[in-house]
Amino acid sequence: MGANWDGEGAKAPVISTLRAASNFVCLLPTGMEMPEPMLHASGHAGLSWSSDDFYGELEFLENGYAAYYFSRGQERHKGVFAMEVDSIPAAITALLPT
Amino acid sequence: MAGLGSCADLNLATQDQEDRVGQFADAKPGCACEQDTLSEYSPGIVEDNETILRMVCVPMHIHSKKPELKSSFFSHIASFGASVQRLEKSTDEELTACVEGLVSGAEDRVWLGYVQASARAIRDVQVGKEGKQSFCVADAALENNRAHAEIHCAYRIPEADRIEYRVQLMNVFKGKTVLNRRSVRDGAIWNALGAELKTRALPPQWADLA
Repeated sequence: MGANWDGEGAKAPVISTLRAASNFVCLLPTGMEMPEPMLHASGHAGLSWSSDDFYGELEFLENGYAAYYFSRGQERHKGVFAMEVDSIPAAITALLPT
Repeated sequence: MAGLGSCADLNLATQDQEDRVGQFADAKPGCACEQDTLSEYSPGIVEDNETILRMVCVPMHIHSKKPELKSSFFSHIASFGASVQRLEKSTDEELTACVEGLVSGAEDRVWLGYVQASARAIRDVQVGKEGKQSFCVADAALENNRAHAEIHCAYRIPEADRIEYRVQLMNVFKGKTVLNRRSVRDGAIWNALGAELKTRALPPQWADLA
């Protein structure tokens, strides 16, 4: 897939962010709900989870960090975290849907 | 962008620039260009009571199992601006040409439906910054599509906050209930499309929106 895949000027996928998303999925604990993959116009890979009262999303950035946003009912959590090769930060795991 | 006096100048100067939204925010803060026309083809500024449509045509923007949009559908709000149509200002021909232009660009694209919201509802969103409008809806008329408009983030936002802005916009447009493509103008737009575009296969999760 190249640039302008959306017909509106999107960038080509950024490989490092695709790898980071793939690595994150591989690190998810067994039995955890699998996320939906996504690709942004910036070329960044993302992952999301959604249900009636829960929404969670990660966007993998080019600097080795990932942005996150989780909402459940009135609760909101957002920020960035450094991606690690061999583990998901506990604070992020705690926000993921079970 | 010093020296670019009018919104129309800024529109022309930033048309192909990835940082178009940021340049608008810097040069014309507070959604100042909502009060100006951006193009000689403009039918006028976007009024609060106008209906704003965004067509869904790219399979990458939809959930793989549910008939829902992903937030990536609105990724352009922080770069080039998200293209939208002003329903009341659009002729049937312009709406048809808009869909054809989006879909015919690649074989994997198909007109999946559309979402809509009032300009007022979009302008009313306030994310984070207390009391501050988060999204601008500005006229961005094109020679062949006078009813074209754009949604921009009203100010520069860090990458870490962009998800929240996209999600809020998804909520305004009710991204979990994409509207049936046959319902635009009571089917007139669907009927006007060429056979090749109408027969493109819908993904299975979209069967109820055929």
